[in-house]
Order: sequence, then C-alpha cells, then structure tokens
Amino acid sequence: MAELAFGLPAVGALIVSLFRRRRGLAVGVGLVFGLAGLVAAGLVVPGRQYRLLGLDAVLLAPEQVVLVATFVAAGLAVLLVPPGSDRVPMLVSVLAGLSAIAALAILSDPLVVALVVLLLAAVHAAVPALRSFSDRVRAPAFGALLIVLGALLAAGATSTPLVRIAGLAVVVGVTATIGVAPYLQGLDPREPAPASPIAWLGFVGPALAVVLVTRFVGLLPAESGAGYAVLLALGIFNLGLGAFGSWQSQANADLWRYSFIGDWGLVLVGFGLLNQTAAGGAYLILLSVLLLRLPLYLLARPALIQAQRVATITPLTLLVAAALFGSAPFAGFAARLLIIRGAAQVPWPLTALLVLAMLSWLPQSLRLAQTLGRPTGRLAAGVVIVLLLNLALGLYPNPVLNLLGVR
Amino acid sequence: MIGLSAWIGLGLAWLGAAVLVLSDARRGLAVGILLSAAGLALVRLVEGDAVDAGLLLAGGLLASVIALRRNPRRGWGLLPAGSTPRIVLSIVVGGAALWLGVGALASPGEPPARAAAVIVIALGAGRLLGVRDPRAALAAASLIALGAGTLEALATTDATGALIGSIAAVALNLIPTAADSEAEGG
Repeated sequence: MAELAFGLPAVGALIVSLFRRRRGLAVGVGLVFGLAGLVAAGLVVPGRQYRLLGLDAVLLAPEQVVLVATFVAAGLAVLLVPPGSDRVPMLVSVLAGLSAIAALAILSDPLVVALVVLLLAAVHAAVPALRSFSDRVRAPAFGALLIVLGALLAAGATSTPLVRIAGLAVVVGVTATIGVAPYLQGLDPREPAPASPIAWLGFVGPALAVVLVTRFVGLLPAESGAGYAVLLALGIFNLGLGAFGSWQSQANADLWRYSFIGDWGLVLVGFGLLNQTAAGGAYLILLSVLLLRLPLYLLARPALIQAQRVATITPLTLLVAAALFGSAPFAGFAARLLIIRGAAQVPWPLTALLVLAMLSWLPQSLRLAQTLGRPTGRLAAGVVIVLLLNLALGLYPNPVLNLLGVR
Repeated sequence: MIGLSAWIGLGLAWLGAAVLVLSDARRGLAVGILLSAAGLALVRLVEGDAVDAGLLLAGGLLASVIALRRNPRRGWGLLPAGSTPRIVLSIVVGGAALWLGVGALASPGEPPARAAAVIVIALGAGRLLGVRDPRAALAAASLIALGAGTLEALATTDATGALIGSIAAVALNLIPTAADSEAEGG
C-alpha cells in the first residue's frame, strides 16, 4: 500500500500530462488518481516496515496525518481554482508534487530523501515562471546538500564537533529546503502557484518538517543536540521576522508571505521546545497551513494580481480573519494554546515573546482577509469549505492529536 | 594494485567533476559527468561490486548523452574568461572533500570510494549553487545524484543506491528547461 501512495499520483501526473489536450478527461483521470493516492496513504498501517525496491520504507503516524492533509489540500487547490484558470497544468504539478511528498514521507534513508528533494527542486525550478531557474533551485538544492552532509556526518564522523555539525546541517538543510528565513524567496502573485515559493512553504514544507522531527532527528547521535537549539532559534527568528515584516508590508503578496513565515516560526518553536504539548501545537499549525492558509492564498491570488483594494469588511472577511489569526473556535486557537502551554515549561520570556508575536497578527489577519476581495460564487464556496474544515479541526482537535500520537 | 586502482578511480572522479566545474558548454559538461561516473564505477569495481559499478557507469553514460543532446551550447566551453574562481573551487573544495572523506569520516565504505563520492558531491554542489545556466545546473545536480547514489551503495549491501543515483542523474538531465533561460550567461 505504501508504494501506491506515491505511485498512483505519479502515474496520474503522467496520464494527465499525456491527455492534457482533452481537458475533461485529463481532469477526471487526475482526480481519480489523486483520490486513489489519498485512499492508499490513509490505508497504510503506520509504523509498519516495508521494503520497496530494496529500500526501507515506513510511514509513521504523524507523517501519515500530514500526508493525508496534503492530499486534501491538493484536492482543494485543484477543485477551487479561480474561474478562468486552467486546471490541467495545476493538476500535473500537484500530482507530481504529491508523489514526491509521499516518497519523502515513506522512504527512511536520508540520502534517498535528499535525492528526492534534489529532483523535486530541479523539476520545480524548471516550471516556467518569472524568476530564473537558478534563483529557484538554489535554496532547496542547498537544503538537499546539507541533508546529505548531515546524514554523512551522523553516520560516520569520527570527532564530536563533526557529529554536532550533523544535527545543525540536517536542521538547516530542511529549513533551507522549505524556504523559511534566512532562505526567503520573493513572492510574486503573477507567478503560477506551483512555480512559486508557496509550493515549498505551503505544500511540500509541512511533510518535510514532519520527516525532520520524526525521522531525521532519530538518526542523529545524542551529541548532535545542537540541532534542536538551532530549530528553536530559527523559529524565534521567523516568528519575529513574520510579525515585523507584516507590519511593514502593504496588503499584498508580501503580507501573505510573512504570514506563512509567522506560522513556520510557530512550528519551529513548537518542535524546538522538545515537549509533546508544544509539538502537538506545531502539528496543528502545519495542518492549518495546509488546509487554511494555502487554499486561502490560492483563492486570494487573482485579487492580488489585480491589486484590488476592498475597504469594506463583510462577515465572511471577519470569519476568515478570525481563522487566520487563530482565534477560537478555529484550529489555530488550539494550536497556539498548546504551543504556549509547552513554552510555559521553559523560562517565561519565551512565552511572553510568543504571546506578543501571536497578538501582533490580529490586525494583520484582517488585512490578509481583505485581500480576498468580495468573495462570490465559487470563490465564496471555497472560502466556506476551507473555514468549515478549519472549524472542524478546531472543535475536535483531540482525534487528530491522538492520531498524531502527541497526547 | 587494488589500492592504486581505487585511488586512480578517485582521481578520475575528481578530474571529471573539475571538468564539469570548469566548463560552460555541452561537451565539457557531458565529459565531466562521464568521467566522474567512470571514476565512481572504478572505485566500486575495485571494492568488488561489479553491479554497482555497471549501474553507475551506465547511468553516467546515459546522463552524459542526454546532457550532450539537450544542451544548445555547442563546443567544450572549457576555462572561459574569468575561470579563476572555479579553478580555486575545484582545488580547494575538492581538497576539503578529500579530507572529509578520508580523514574525518569512518564510514561508509573504504576511504577512496567514500572520498570519491564526497568530492563529486562537493564539486557538483559548488557548480550548482554558483551557476545561472539551467543545463549546467542540471548537469551539476546529476553529479550530486551519482555521488549520493554511490554513498548509499557503500552503506548498503544491495545495488539499490547505485540504481537510484543513476536514475536520478538521468532524470535530472531529462528535465526540460525554458528556452529563454537557456540564453543566460554561464
């Protein structure tokens, strides 16, 4: 079943690409293969060891939850494309991405994971876009190289300082691949979503982050604990940068980019705190990135391209703002509460900083919600679906947390 | 004799990676991939794993042929004006990688094989992170794939690592790149 989770989307991408001129057929086949991949990912027994083409494969519970959420986010991205957009290229990119993400989540060996990241980075950079190939490939390729270095040092380094560098290399490698600060890339809404940095920040990133904390960290020797400190430091840096950058930004794509960075800051802090409560919050934020922030950014993209300014605030705008801010009863509330509870176990300045950074997003979330314009028709339906999903996750986080194994 | 062959393989891998670093056009890039793959294959052959060696050589050969056919820049493009930083990169990064592979790591595999793989990865990385031409970047990435595949092969008993590295090297060169970015400087 594990091989089907990445094999089916890959075959789907190939078939959709072959039948791209017959749009209806291509979209139908692509959705069927994507759905089949989702079912396969959901049916894998978590923790069971598989042997795929001579490689060790295992899907742990947190990876499975995030993988399933990634499939759902991909489905939302394809189904809710704004009117006038072509679904077929989006579907090919999304299915190819899903295949790579499933491979990342399932394959155990860090060297193989780095190879998959390298391939994905090259394919992503080759998608026609506004930025050059080299600009787009650099950060994820650098990340893949650091993962290789970390894996090498963790397995065979003869001196303690080099073993410490292993942890550092793996953590910095994964964050570079995802594209969080200091590896930020410019976000232009005119760039197609599959070719933009959002593909890493909002689509591939969550699965990679989970692979980092569930699998890579386990491979590192105890002496390489410096990686955790770096994770926490990068988290605080991204949190601060997200908050500060959002205050300095116009209500445009930059604001969205900083909102992703702010969420990633919370995720990295949650994992870096090294306790189950904060990790639970970090997982929920990752799900929130996949099931709320990413689809909302995709829905807001047409308005961002046209630079529409909407001064009025509708009830839907307020609901979107509340969900993005992380207020009750949406999923972001439970996530932030868990991270603060986790942070309360360490000296208080970190908790104070976290609370300040979270509160700073109150006005910014309203500005973000306003970038959607006045949602009507399919756009409004999309927003409502995304909000309902987030509401369900916020009202009933315990089943998901139990699946994640963090309670 | 076996030891000498392994070190010759390492030298060949370094030479190939250096040619790739110092070249801007298709012949230089293709020969760089092929020489590196041949070097990696030789060190694996010396270690007694002919299957790995065959896979790496076949992957390198196929990748270099594809790199040759897909790259519109004709000629060798070796040592273009302003190559001094790349020469320094080939020597310094290659030397640092040799030290890492031989002196700082105890596994996987024997020192020459490990060092050859690390040198190929390091020089491929240096080229990938510094280049603007997408075809040259993909050729450099395929070096990294071959090196990582060799490391994986050294760490395991089966040929899967070499197979995956070879497939990745070929696949990277098969990726189409936009015509407008082909014209960028190398």
